[in-house]
Amino acid sequence: MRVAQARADKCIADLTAKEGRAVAACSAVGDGLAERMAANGLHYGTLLEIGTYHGVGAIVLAHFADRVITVDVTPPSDRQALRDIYRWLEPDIAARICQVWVPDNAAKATLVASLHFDMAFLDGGHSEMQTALDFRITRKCGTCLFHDYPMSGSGCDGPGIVLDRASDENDGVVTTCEPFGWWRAA
Amino acid sequence: MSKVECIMARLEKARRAIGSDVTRESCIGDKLIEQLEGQHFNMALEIGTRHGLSAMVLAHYAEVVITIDIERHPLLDATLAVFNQGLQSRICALHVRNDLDKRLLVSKLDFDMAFIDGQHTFAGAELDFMITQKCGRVLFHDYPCSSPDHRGVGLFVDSITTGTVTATPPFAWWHADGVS
Repeated sequence: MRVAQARADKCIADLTAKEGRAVAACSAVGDGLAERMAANGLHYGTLLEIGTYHGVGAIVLAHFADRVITVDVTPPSDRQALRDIYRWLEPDIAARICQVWVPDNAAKATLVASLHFDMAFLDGGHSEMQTALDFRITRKCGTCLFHDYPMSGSGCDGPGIVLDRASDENDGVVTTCEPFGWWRAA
Repeated sequence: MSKVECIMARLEKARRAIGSDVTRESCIGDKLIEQLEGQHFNMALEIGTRHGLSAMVLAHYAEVVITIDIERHPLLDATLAVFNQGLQSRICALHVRNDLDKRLLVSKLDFDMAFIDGQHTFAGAELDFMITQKCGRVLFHDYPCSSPDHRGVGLFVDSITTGTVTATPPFAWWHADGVS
């Protein structure tokens, strides 16, 4: 796993050298996503990411899974930017990432209900309602990693509220390592 | 109002909202409804969303329709907006970057019927069939199309050696062995 982490870190370093640091701004990558995944010690078959943003998180995740399906509710006008950053990747990593755009939360829920995946990374909308929805539709896989736990204020307290609620209700096993939080089915 | 009358009324509404040329271009004009009558699926997967009209028809014959395309047609949102909330919620219109993403996504999806109306080249039809045939029931549009641009579908369907192909031009059904 440390090899995967080192490879992921180098991949992001190469990417930011070419595209500029802004490409990874506000991403979980800067908060140590690769380190968290490496510490988890597992390689997954299919990993689902909710919240593509610039697509950088998916690149890190692709070092810890055979395939990454990353879903976002994104205006089509942003697509070109998303498409472009993957041209810098090694082909074996780029080929593991599947980007999907859905028009709204209803379509996202429909898609996820039909998908098979082993782990979910939740980094989409950070409101309580949005986070609760993403958790509800992805928890079937048994392992969810939340980013921005326990961010509060500005309507971004969803991960904190949802994970703390799960912990309080003994719903699965919650392990936090800020700014991330794991939920695993009991 | 019967189901078919209901669909036709919705198509007329769509035609008025987004233009008659749209419905004429679509497979709707080729009577997709007739192909689906009497059947009901849990999850229909459509390859090739275009305007979204065929997804609307499929939504009358399936609990959920996932429709995938590589380009988002500018009229898609307008089409979907014509339908009521209940129908819209049964249609999940996705967009992916390319065929590789499509293949990866479909490999992880569960569905029990596929409607192939995407790229009409031999290679395009072959890829779409390869990734969807696991469901056991595949309906091709434009078989065997006389248009030179669409001949690939007919050529590919004629080359299938597994299962059973039933041609009802301009459609063709493929069923896996043991699947009705």
